[in-house]
Formats: sequence, structure tokens, C-alpha cells
Amino acid sequence: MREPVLNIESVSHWYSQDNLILDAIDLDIYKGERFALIGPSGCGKSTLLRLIAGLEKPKEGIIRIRNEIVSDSNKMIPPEKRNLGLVVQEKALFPHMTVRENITFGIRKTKKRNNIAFDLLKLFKIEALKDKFPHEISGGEQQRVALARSMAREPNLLMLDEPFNALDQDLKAELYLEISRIFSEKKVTLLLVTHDIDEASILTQKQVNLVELRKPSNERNSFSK
Amino acid sequence: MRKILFLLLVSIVAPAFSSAEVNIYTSRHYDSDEALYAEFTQETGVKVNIISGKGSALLERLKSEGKNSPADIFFTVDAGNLWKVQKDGLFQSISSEKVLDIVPDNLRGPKNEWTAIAKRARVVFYNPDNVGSDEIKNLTYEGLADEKWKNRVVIRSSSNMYNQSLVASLIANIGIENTENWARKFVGNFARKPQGNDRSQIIAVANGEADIAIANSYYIGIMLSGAAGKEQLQAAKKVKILFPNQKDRGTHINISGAGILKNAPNVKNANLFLEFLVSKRVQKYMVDKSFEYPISEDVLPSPEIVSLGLGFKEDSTSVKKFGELNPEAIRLMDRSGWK
Amino acid sequence: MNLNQLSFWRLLPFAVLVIFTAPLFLVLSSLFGGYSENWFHLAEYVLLDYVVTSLLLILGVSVLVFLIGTSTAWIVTNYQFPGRNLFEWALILPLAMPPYVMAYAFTGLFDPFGDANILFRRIFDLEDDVVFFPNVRNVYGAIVVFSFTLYPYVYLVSRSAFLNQSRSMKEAARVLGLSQSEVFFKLALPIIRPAVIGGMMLAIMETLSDFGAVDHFAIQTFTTGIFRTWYGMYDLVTAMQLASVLLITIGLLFMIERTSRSGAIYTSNNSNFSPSPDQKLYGSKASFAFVLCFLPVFIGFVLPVLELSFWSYQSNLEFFTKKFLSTSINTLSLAISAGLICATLALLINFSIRYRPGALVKRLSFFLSIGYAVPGLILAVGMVQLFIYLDQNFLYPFEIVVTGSIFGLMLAYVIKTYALANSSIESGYERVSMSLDQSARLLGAGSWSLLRKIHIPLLKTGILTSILLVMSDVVKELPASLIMRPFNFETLAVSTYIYAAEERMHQAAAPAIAIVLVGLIPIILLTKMIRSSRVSPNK
Repeated sequence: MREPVLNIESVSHWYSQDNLILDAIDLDIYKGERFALIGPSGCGKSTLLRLIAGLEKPKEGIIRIRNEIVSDSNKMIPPEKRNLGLVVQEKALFPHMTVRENITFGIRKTKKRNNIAFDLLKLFKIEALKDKFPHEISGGEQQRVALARSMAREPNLLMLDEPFNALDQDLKAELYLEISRIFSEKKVTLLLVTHDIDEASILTQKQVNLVELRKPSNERNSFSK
Repeated sequence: MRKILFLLLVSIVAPAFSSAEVNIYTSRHYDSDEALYAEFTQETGVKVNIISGKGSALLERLKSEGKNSPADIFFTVDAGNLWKVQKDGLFQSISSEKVLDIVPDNLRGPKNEWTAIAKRARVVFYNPDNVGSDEIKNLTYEGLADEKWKNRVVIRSSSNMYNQSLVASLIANIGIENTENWARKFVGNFARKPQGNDRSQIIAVANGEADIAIANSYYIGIMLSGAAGKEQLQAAKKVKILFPNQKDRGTHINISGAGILKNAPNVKNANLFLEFLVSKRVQKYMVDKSFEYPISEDVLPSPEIVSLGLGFKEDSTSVKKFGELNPEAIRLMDRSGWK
Repeated sequence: MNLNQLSFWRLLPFAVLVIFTAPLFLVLSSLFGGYSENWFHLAEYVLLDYVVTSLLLILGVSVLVFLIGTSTAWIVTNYQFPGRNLFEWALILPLAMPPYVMAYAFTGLFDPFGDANILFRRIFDLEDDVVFFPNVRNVYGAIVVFSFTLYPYVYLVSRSAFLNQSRSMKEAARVLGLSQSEVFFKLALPIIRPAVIGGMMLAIMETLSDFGAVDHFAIQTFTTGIFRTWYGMYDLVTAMQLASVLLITIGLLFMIERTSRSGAIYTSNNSNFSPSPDQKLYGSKASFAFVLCFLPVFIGFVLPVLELSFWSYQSNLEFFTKKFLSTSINTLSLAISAGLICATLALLINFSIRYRPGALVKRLSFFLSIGYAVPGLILAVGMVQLFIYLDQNFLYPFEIVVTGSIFGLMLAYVIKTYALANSSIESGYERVSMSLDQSARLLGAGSWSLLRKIHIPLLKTGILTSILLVMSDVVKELPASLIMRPFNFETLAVSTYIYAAEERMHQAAAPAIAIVLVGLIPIILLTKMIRSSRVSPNK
């Protein structure tokens, strides 16, 4: 059997003792797999992505990326060393950089920069915007830039956190088609978090509700609450 | 609305004139002066109004105000500014007999436009551990250009008006060319780049950082009085004072002085005020606090200053010269590299 | 209001511009008069020295205020460490310390017989001629003095800019491969560049216009040259010509800054800022953060205050019983009025530029701020001449004069400190999206109600900051107060000067400490705002 790109084992997380956000989650995602996590807002989906990205440290459990432990009780690899992609609803584009600079931001090798930027700009059909600043382009365009930026480093896993929430229906439909083409063309390993089941079924092959990921109680370790 | 605005405006701008007062523009600031002004008011019923600031800035205000100036008296520690006001014809002659009686001729303006109120001497301080009495005997300002003082002299920067006056007095006495030659050699003798105030120079000598310093007489008085702390008192005790040029024209003297302005609205009160300042009792009170020299020989300076020796010969070069030659003095110091 | 609003908003900036720049043009007009032999003398012998020293000074100050201001702001906004909550506001305390007062304290401490040297000699039981600390009476000492009293300008703007940076942006950078420190250098810092440069400009202008500190240190800067020429050569015209050169230089600096800023207005139309979770620091990292924040506060505030307190305890305690109250009230009422006037003007002018944009007005508006860079005395001379002209030609029939009135003094303060009020209101406006104006106007809001209902509530912090900054500057202001005040009207700075002019620093300490005390009032209010401006960090 193939190795999973992402392996999550019994991860629990909480901000205060009486409010458990993630409760002993298990999850495996394999290379090339496009996977959606569904659930109502506030159920902990975004928190899970933050834990995977290394923006926060899980209170319990182990996270592995390509078989290497990135988070457990005594180890914490910082986010910049994990090579992941993350796109959030706010897009978080760097306001003082042009579209092209935003996209090439994560690429260290200067030689490759131009090529990668050229490919991505073309792929997302935003060549015309390359010298514009984020505040000069539309919301849908901003989202394309954010996606392109996150793919520039060819991440192990691309994570999308409700990325299309703020867009209107027509724009969404158009984007869905395009990016699912891009995802399959680039063989992207994808973890999408959304409350929108339609969106999930268009963009991914496999959809799971977060609550289903909880370990059956008979298999749980004693430390889990 | 308009009316209120106008009233507001009127309430925050000053009323133009009033009476039974004397208005003084002064660049002399002592705590003790305030007590003096209060006493004057008590004695005469005349209220004293004060604006203090740099002499040149006050002079500029005076000139701009022109004939509408409320100022009666211009009081300054910078003799050059007295001359400047005199030259611009902004003073009137002092008419008070009392003042003219007390103040010697050479301490007044040529037509009694102004009078000195107190004197300070610019003297040499030396460290007796490092300077022999033979070496320093009969020292003159001119002599400080001598080779033997190489790397031994400290003095403050050429921006200081007392240094400017000193150089102006040299120009007046030995001519501009000689003074410039002197200044070049003198600057070559500096133990360090000019820095700090007069007191720092005295302290540098006390410390052995240099052997000789030029500074005003009253600073040693302040230091010896203990008002500036125990450490400065100790430092002051380590140095000795020497009055230069005793065998010829005498030691360089600067004055603080005052005059009555031509457009003064309160001439009578202004004369009263000058009389008050030069009176024996007030003179004694002032010099005890400021460690300056009084203008008449009937009054003794403060005990600390008396201890340095009295009756030295004073340079009688007129203050007018200092004023006239001050710009030349600055340019000369710039040319000779006096920072 | 029965005003034609269109012309009101168009005319206001011009009207203010005329009043503000009249004294400056009086200074500049000297350039068209004759050039005396003094001018050529200066050019031949000393001008180069002045220029080099001034450049060295502002270069050093720029680098230091930048380093101190941004690094401390970053640390207190992003990390948890012991003392963080204290430093977050304590770091602006040095704003209450006038550079000239710190210069007095510094020489008092570090001169060969300064108290710090004496203390160390006593501790190690050494002879009098052992000197521990390097000489501070030079350009490097001056750099330290200006940097540690003026860095709060950079700290203030950096801090609020850092707080406004969205968490998701910083996190995106982490995920894209930047370490925590790279986020600071490659992302956080470049984004706040316009704000930081604005803060640095304030520090540079104040450094260039200062006379008290450079005079005390006897270093040869441009300002020293100006005053030497005026006081010593009695040549006000040449002094004004020198001041004009300074003015023009600052003007050019301004323009360069403006052009470099244009197109780099990073208004984020994304209001979805979630505060970053602060990273906890432990062990040596926590100590390092502590020391880094402690040093500026210690050097720029604690140390000079200790020295001044020591002096005033020794020699002039009666100041506090005799004159403290009256001079403080004078100072405070001037400061409050100037603060209110400046903030109101800055608000109205920035509003009118936004509401009725005209390229000319925008380009000219920086002239309004230039008064900050003019040495106070030179500005005051220009003002006195202007007032006398007004008095003699217009006001005499009414038996009132503005020369030597509170009104005149106030106008001088307003012209001098407008730049401070403007900087915080302008940067506040940059963060208010134009789309808000558009929607408000579409919903029928006229100019006044747009200002009252939308802008003022949104700019509340900026307006308060500008009032408080002006206040703290006026409390410290000396030269204009000296020459323009009415009879018998003493401010704290004037009381300090009166002693310091005769180099009686021990007696000057009591009023100097009073400046710091009164100056603390606006500062404490500022710190209160700072503390409440932070959203609670747990999400």
C-alpha cells in the first residue's frame, strides 16, 4: 500500500479544558488524493488545518507528513519547514507586493522563479494582472492569486479553508471548473474544508464529515478525554 | 456667534498699554533677581514686568516692535548686544544723576546710553601640580600661543560669546593680523577639541587632563561655594587662578549691563530701576549670589571671589570695541580652525 | 451653517496654508536679498563642517530610532515575556523627556566629574582621575540623546501598524516557508515602511531644528551655525539664509518621501483582522526581549529622571512649592489649547483634501508640516515680524496687539507642531477606505455629516493621538515661548532655560523634572489608549 502524505493519529485540541474542539481525530490522505472535510462552522475544521500547518501545536496526538513526525508531544516542526499550501477565506495576500511577487514569494531558487510564475499566471489566467497590487484586482482574481501562490512551491499537500465563501455563485461555478481541471492536471493532493457539500463534491473525490473521523471509543487511549 | 468669537479674541490678546510699571527685556536670569524685583516693587510701588530670552532674540523683537514697543529697559549679559542696540539708536541717555555718580566712566556708554551692572573677568586657571610658578609668571593671553603650552591648554568652543569678546579685545589691542597668527598657534596648543562649558575646562585642569584653562571668574565662585556639589568643590580647590596681562593692559573684562530704550513708555520708572540696581545694598546682594564683580569699588564681591585676590588690573578696552569687532572675531576663529 | 460648502472645503487648505507659510516665506525671502561677506566666509570655512556634522547626526539618529522603534514594537506586539504589558506603554515614556533636558542630565552623569563616574569611583574605590564613561559631549553623544528621546515616534507608528497586520497574512508567509524572523524582515517591516518613514521624518526634523542639546554639547551643526551667525555676527539675514537652506533641504526630503510613498498605500479593505496569538518566550530569549525593551526606557527616561531628581533634591526643591503650580498651569493650558487647535485643523484639512481632491492642494499640503523642521527661534522671528506688521497695519485702531499675546504664542505653537497632529490623522485617514465615503455619500450624507458621523468616530484614536502628541511637544517647547510670550508669563521650559542659560544645571533640574511630570500627563493618556487598543488575544 502507498504511504500517506498526511497521517493524523489521535489528535485532540482545546483552548480551555471544558471546551474540546478536536477529539481524538484520525485521518490519512494519500498522494494525489483530493479529500474534503465537511461540517458546520465552528466544528473545528479550521483548527485542524492550523494544526497540520504547524501554526498551532496540538495538545495531544501525532501528525506525520510523508512519514515524518512534524508534531507530537515533544517535537514541533515550524510551519515554514513543512512545505504545505494553505489558502484561507481572507486570502491574506501581501498588500505591498504585485501579483507576480506574491506568487513567487515562497520560491527560494531565483532561477526557477520566472518559469514557475509564468506557468502559474497562465494556468490561472491572470497573466494580465501580474504587475497589479492586490487592492487593484477583484475578489475572484485575488482568490486565484492566493491559489497560485500556494501552489508555487509544489506543496506536499494543498489545504483550502472555505476559500470561496466570499464569492458570488456565478464566479464560484466558473472557478470550480477551472481549478478542478488544474488540480487533476497537476495531480495536487488536496484537503478542502467547507460547509458546502456541492462545492466539496465538485472539487474532491472523497468527502467526510469531521465527526466521522473520531476514533471509536473502544480504540481510544486512556489519555483521551 | 460672531460677537462671542470677537470677545474671545479680545480676551486672549494683550491690552496694549498700562501704567505704574516698568517693562524689562532681559537676557540675565538669576533666581535672586526675582527677589530683587519684588523688593523694588515694594519700595517704589512700581510693578516689574519681565520677558527673558537670548539677547539677540530680544533685540530682534525690540527692533520689530519699533516705536510701539512696550519695553523700557534692555538688560543683557552680552556687551556686544548693548553696543548693537546703541548703534541702532534704540537707547536714550540715562538721566539719573545717581547712576552716573556711582558707575565709572569706562563702564558706561559714550553718551550714557547704557550702564554696566556687574563685571566678570576671563581668567586663567592652572593646575599647580603641572605648572610651575616660574612658568606661569607674567602670563599674557598672547603668551598662550607659545610652543611650551603645546597640548596643555583647554578652552570652550568659538561659539561662546565670552571667547568671541576675548578675541575681539585682542584684535582691538594687537591688530587683526597678529591676532590671527596668535589664534593659529593658540589652537595648535589645545589639549583637546573644544567641548563643554567653562566649568568643564576648570574640571579638566583639576583632573590633570590639561594644565591650563581659560574661563570666567564667577564659575570658580559657584564651584567654591559648594552649590554645585562636593565633587566640584574638591576640583575647584585643586586649581589656582591667574589674572593675565597684569604688566600691560590688564585682564579682559566683560559686563552685564542695561539701558533705557528710546521709546520707553515709563522712563521715570526705568531710571528708578537702574538707580536701584547700582545702589550699594543691591550690588552687594547681586554679586554675592552671582559671583560677579560689583561695578563700584565700595562694594566687595562674594567671599569666594575675594579669596582669589582683589585689585587686579582690568583691561579698559571699551565694550564698544567688543561689539564692533565680534563678527570679525568669529570669522578669524573660523579661519584659524577654532571649532 | 450658511456656508457654500464647495468653496469652503476648497478654500480652507489654502487659507491655512497662507497663514502657516507667511512666517516661513519671510525666512525664505532672505534668499533673495543680498549676501553679506559672512555668507561667503561661512561657505569658505565652516559650512562643510556644519553639513557633515548635521548629516552624521541625522544619519545616526535615523538608524537608531529605526532599530529601537521597530524592534521593540515587533517584540511587544508578537511575543509574551515577563514585563511585556509594562513595556508596551513604558516604551513611550521618553517622549516626555526633552532632548535638551536629557543632554543636561547626560553631561551631569558622564562628564569626568559626573555622578555616574563618581559613583563608579566610589564603588571601586579609585582615584579622581579615573574616568569610566566615554565623553558624551560630541556628535555621538548627541546621536544617543536624540535617538533615545525621539524613538517613540517610530515605536508608536510601528506598533499600531504591526497590530493592524492580519494574522492570516503572517501565517500565509509561514506556510510559504518563512521563519518567524523572516516574517519580520521580509513582510512585516516592508509593509509598515510608509508609517515608519513618517515617524523617522519627525525624529529627523526635531533633530535638525534642535538648538538646546547641540548647544549644550557644543557640536557644530547647521543650527549652531545659524545661531552663531545671528548672535555672534549680529547677522540675522545670513542666519535666515542658512535657515532657508535647511528648510529647502527638508522640503526636498519631504517630497522624496511623498513620491516614494505614492502607490504604496497599503489600505487593506479586509476588515477581518484576527489578532495573532502571541508566542511565549522562555529563558534566554525572554531575557533578551526584556533587555531590548528595558534599555530604551532606562536610557531615555529612568536614568535622566534619576539624575534630575537627585539634583533638584540637592539644590532647588523650593521650586515645587513656589512656582510649580502656576508655571505648570500656564504650560498645560497652552498645551491643551494648542493640541485641540492643531487636531481640529489637521482633521479639517485632511478631510477637505479627501473630500475635494485637487492635485495642487495635495502637493502643497506638506508645506503645512514644514514648520516642525524650522528652528523654533527662526520661526519665532518670522512670526514676530509678521505680527508686528499685522498690529501696525490692522489692529492698532482696536487697541489690541497680537505680539506678545497668548494668541500669538498659540499660533506659533500651532505652526510649529502641526506636523505632529497631521501625521497621525493622515495615517488614520489612509486606513479609512474610500468606499466608506462613497457609500455614505450615496446614502445622502453631506460633508459635515460625513465628517461627524463616519470619519470622526473612525479616526477617534488618531485624533486623540494627535492632540496628545502636540501637547507633549508644546510642554517641551522652548524658543518660541521665550521670545513670544507675554510679560511675566513663565512656562516650565522657560524656567528651565533661565537656569540652564547660566549653566546652573543643578537648579535647572527642578523645573526640568516638572516638564517631564507635566509631559507625562498626555503620555499617560496615550499609554491608556495603547493598552485598550489591543484586542484580547485569546480567540
